[in-house]
Amino acid sequence: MQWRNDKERYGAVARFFHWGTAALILAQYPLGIYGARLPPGFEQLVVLARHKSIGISVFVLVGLRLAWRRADPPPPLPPDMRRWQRRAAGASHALLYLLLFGLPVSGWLFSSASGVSVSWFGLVALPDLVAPSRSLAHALLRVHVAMAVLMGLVLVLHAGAALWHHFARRDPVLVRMLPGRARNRSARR
Amino acid sequence: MTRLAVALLLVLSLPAFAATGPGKAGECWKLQPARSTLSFTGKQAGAPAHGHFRKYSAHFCFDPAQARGEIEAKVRLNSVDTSNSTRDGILRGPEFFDVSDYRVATYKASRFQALGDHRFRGHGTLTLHGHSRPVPVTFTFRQQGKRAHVQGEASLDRRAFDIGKGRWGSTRWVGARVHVRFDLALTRAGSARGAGH
Repeated sequence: MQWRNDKERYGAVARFFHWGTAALILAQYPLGIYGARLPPGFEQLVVLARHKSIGISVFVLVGLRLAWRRADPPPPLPPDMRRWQRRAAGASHALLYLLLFGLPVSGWLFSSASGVSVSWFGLVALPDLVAPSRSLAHALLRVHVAMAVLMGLVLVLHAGAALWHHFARRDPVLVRMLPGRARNRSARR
Repeated sequence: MTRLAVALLLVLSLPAFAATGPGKAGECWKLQPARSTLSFTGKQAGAPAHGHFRKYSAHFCFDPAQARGEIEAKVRLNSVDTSNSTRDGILRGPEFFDVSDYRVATYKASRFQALGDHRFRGHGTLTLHGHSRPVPVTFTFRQQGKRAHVQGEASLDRRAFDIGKGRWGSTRWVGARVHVRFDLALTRAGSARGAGH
């Protein structure tokens, strides 16, 4: 197993962070939307507690991921990409990281402002970030939802760009992030 | 959160107690609600959940020198406030306090034990949600002229009072233990007795 990135593909650690984050984020949408629509009660408590625990997991994961990224930079984009395309790739990835950080933090802030302390799967109790405030909670929820919508849009762009690389440009940008492929798969294309 | 409620407690007082005569229950005090708090902490989904009660009364007669007295506190359960109106609504509802049937929780204690350094333990009974159970409280009683300050705590298991019915009964999402704290400002009530100060 190749742990670190090289010039052609992502290593196992970067792929773990990428797909782990993807799985958690995809789980967050149904949990958050369903939980928010449930009537107040036991089920809502359970669903939203899980949503929060997963969100905290994302928060921790993105911190570790950024640290790892510094130590192990991603492989370069194909040299024949245009300048605007590189810029779009850089900007959308920066936005994704920002949202991966901002969504859990805004959710955590919202929960604190609502007077509900957050724990990580009932194992680790987290501090409250702000004192309870109805108006602040209301505003933070709007920020959280707006970020989730924006994240959804950027994810569509992200996945669309990956498919564009694979099917239109026929470069290895998508494949090099896929798990378990032979190292020379990209060379074959 | 929820659980909280329970607790309540403590506090004291003495109504009419002067009738029993001095020496028996000690000096009697009036609660100053604006300067007092009755709060609790439970556990919700693994995180502490804090709340307090906004309305409660207490009759408090106590003689620290002999560790004797009579205390009775009544807590209005619908005054629960956990800084979250949704949660407060669930607490007031039929699965928790059920305030439409059980409006008040009462704590009564008439047996005390001195622990030294102004500290005491009261062996009293909490009646909550139709159940009466012994709940000890520990507190400090500090008197300064016409004022007294009582600070104390108690811990109880919400399940002993059938608080949290059905799926809420599991302690995974709502902890069993509720920790209750009280910080009471008292002023001397009338002149029930001349004994002290």
